[in-house]
Amino acid sequence: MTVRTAVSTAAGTDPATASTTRTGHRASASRSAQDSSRAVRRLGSGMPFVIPFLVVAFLFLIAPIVYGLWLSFTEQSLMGNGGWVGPANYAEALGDPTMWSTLGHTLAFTLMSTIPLVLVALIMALLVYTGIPGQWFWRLSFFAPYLLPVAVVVQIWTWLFNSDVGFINYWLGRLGLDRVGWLTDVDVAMWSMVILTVWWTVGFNFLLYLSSLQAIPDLLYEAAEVDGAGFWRKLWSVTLPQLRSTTVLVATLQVIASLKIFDQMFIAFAGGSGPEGSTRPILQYIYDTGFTNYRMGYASAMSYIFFVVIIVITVAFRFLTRSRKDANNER
Amino acid sequence: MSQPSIPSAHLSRRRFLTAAMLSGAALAGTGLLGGCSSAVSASDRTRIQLWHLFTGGDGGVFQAMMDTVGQQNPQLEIDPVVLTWGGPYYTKLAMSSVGGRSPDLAVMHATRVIGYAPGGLLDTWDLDRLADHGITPEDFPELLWDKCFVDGQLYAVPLDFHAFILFFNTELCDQAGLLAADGTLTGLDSPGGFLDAGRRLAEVTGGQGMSFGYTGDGAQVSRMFWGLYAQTGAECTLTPGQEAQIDRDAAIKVTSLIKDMLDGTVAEPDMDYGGAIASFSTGRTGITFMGNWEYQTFLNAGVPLDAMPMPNVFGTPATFGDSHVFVLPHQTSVDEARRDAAYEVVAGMLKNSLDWAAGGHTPANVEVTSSSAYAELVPQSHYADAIGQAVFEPAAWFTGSGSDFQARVAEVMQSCWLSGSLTPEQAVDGLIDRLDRMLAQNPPA
Repeated sequence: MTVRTAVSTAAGTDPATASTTRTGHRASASRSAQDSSRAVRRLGSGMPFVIPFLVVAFLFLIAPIVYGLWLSFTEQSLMGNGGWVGPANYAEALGDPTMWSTLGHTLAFTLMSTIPLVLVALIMALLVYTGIPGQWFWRLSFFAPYLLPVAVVVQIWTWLFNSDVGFINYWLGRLGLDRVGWLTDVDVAMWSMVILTVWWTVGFNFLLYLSSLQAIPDLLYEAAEVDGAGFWRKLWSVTLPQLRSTTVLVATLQVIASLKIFDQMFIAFAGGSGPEGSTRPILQYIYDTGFTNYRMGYASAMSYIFFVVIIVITVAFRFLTRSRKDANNER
Repeated sequence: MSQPSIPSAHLSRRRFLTAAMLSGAALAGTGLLGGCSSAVSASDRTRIQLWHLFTGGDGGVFQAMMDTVGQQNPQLEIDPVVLTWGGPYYTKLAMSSVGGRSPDLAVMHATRVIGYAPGGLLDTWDLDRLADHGITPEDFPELLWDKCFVDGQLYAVPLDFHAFILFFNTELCDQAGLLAADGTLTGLDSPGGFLDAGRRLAEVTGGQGMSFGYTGDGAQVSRMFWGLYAQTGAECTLTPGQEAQIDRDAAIKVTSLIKDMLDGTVAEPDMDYGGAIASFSTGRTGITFMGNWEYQTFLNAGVPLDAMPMPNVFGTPATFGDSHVFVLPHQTSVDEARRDAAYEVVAGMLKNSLDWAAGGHTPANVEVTSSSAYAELVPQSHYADAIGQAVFEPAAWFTGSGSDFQARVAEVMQSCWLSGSLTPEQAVDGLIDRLDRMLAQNPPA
């Protein structure tokens, strides 16, 4: 109802303003008064639509963040014998070798996965864009894994990776190569998680690249051709620079997603920590501390330390990938 | 007047729809009434909620047992909730108890009771009331029964002992000359004999003799390590606020033996749980170390199969395991009728636990295990001894099946067995360091 009133008022004022334009000052004054009252009315009419979001954001985002911060200064357990301990949890976390090693695993995974997730997506998009036959098929098969739930993906890959009866080792054996302990070898297990993750999520980045490839104006290529540019020159001097902002977007999204790695390892190793603990990410350590050992306060403190790490990395990443245009705009 | 036909057509359609809806509602109404009549009889029954963690073959057997108990007690209705075992199960159970609106009855591991009871997450069992339902301490082996007490109070009633045992392929072991005249596996009761048996089997299989799946699996590492540790006669006592009481030399002896076993001939060093099952199921190894719950898996694989408790390698018979127990999660307000039903269900499950043995578990009820029907179960009766030599993980709030601590222990032990980056001495020192670190923390309860 409110919306309809606002619209009808707006429509209704039009002839009125048109008729008063001839009378100069009085008209503009009345128009600005009308504008401001219209803005207020519009704001008022919009509020009811915003309230659900505000409620949800408060209940599930802001309140937990504040509560978690408070928890991190207590020795709260799941059973609830919490007492204020001040910064003791933070001090303990900074001296906890497991926290540092699991944080290291998370950062390593981020580095190991982001690069292929960007490069492979770009290559796949270029392949499809440059027009290999059967486009719909490639689009479908590149994107389809993204639609699967993580539990299914990990289950499929743990079968493929099985060192004894797995499909991959079977073919390595047929090719006369040694078996690889995909999930059992300390040096390989994390790479297995990377391969699985790339297969699962690269489709989304591929789609982003493909759509921005299609948005590059043909004019640019025609101009380049007139100047005598070949395939590689066009790729290097037209396509890639035009994709720059997409690359920054994809990489930023990917860094944040990879920092939050948890599900794949948790399911692949049945809640364990991989060979010699080599794949346990920090989020799993936080989960184990809070929900398996019931030390909520300590887990919260580590969450906040990790929160700061994510912010630092994201800001640093933003600085590194800032283009000259952005920098000019900021000045 | 000019267009009488159109409204009438409208009306008739509307009337038709109304009639259809009414008749539908009438049908639904009879359905509802029918539901009511059965609901009346259902309301006479006491409905109790039971959380458990049995899936796969175990889940089917457990469901069948609940059905039997339901038939024997028509006044009872069991409402089961199945959850996957491990850390998440215990988190859910703890949270529901904290909230005070927990299930009436739940299954958990005996080794986790000590972490739960002092925090007030569990209610105690009343011995007299158990006796009223026909359950007395004499029904259980002492080792199991004692495990269910914390500070002199009974917090759990054991259903079974599930052991970490040795499965062997009778054909392969026969070819390797490891079987005695009565078909039992012999010669494994010393470190040298144990490794030698593996080598002889490896000659038969042309690959490895034994399989032990432990990479990335804290539970498997703990099962092997603490079981063999107890065989040395050493003990491990964990008291919060103090250093761990552990026999370092015995622990090193055990760690070294397993390292020697994982030499690529006796057993493959990089094998996970699924890999061990696969290699034993396909006859590529002749011996594997697994929980008795995998019995059905091997049976279905068609391996010529027998089983025994953990061979006595270090002199003291000991088989590692844990016990599924029934507990009463804490409730803020207890409904006495439902609580009584919980006692009745537990009594019924224990009396019917011969069925439970089919899944490979050793029932806790002595009456069942001493029965002739149980003696006829093969190979279950071949490892029935395991219950008399039961060894559990050292008790502390942070240890036990599905605990995060098992993963922490696995990290150091795997560093010794898998990549060899730690010597057995360093691995044991790492274990002691982790134990001390946890003991220094405030228990959450």
